[in-house]
Amino acid sequence: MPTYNYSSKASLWKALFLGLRASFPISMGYFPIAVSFGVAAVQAQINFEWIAAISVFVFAGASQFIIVALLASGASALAIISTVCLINLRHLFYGITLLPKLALPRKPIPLAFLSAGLTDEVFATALGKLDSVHVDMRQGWFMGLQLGAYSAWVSGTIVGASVGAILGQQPPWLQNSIDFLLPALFIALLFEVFRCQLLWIFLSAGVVTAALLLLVPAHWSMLGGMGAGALIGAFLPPQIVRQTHKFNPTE
Amino acid sequence: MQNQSLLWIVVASGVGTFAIRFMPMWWRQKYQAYAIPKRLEHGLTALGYAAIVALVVVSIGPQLVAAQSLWAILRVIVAVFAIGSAHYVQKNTILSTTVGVVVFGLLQYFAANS
Repeated sequence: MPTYNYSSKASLWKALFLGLRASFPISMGYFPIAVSFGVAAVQAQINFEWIAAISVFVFAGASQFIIVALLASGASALAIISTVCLINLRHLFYGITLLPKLALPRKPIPLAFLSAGLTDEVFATALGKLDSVHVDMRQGWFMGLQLGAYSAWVSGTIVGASVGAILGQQPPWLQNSIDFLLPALFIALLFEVFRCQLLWIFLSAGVVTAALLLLVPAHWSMLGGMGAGALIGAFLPPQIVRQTHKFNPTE
Repeated sequence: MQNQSLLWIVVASGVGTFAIRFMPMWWRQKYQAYAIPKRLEHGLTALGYAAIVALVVVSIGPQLVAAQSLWAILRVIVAVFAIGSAHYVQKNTILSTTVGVVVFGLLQYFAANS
């Protein structure tokens, strides 16, 4: 395997490019959803500038739709802000989980940039792919991944807000197929990271999430499922969990 | 809603979301010299894998629950099988995702037009 000197700008660009390329499935899923966000926001009587500003500054899919819904229902600013933060609480653990894989002691890209675009899809893709990226290229690759996802989201929002009124309704079968893009990505990533030794983690997270989904909103059930998986992982024999680190640079 | 309120909502939601993503990474990097207990480390490793499963469940769970026929559930199962098969043949996430969406789209199209 070739060694990459991270101080070389060419290597950084190459890592960024590879990350951008890896972001393609995310972008494919993000763009149509961002278009529908733009359309929904236009229908809620929000100005183009504010619609774009929400995507540029918040960049968090589900909670952006909730901002629009709450704005349309006349909710207070405080209620909207606290709801957005509560929904995004699950992101608290994403950064800590990825940190050991990002090779931070090596010429770091500022953490603020590395964490700004950490959405569900970026996290899941990075977790599945980072181990196969050369240690020296990981930060650049991860930046590229985030940039690709962010660009697709913001550009989709702008398209939706600009031409939303004239796009019209798509046939249900096409809309359903577009809606299946992100679930398909998550399923593909699950196949990517699946290890038989970790079956109990996968099972416990899946069962607890599914059970909670019947009782509470999706973002809370996700937190419950993640907690259950983490708890099982903490008590699995250490050699099993350690096997999941292929190239942990901090070890 | 007034522009000033919208400004507050956009700025505070953006800053809040950013802080939720950034602060744990910053904290962990700042105190990386301090060893964390092994169980916590393993729990954090497992958390990532658990998160992917949780994302799968919350993204397809409601579709399965809302399905109005067995055929609708079968379409999802066939698409998942297609993703798995594509992954087995070629370990490429883009390809697996595309195959799954195309298979699901075709099944949706035929169901709508039959």
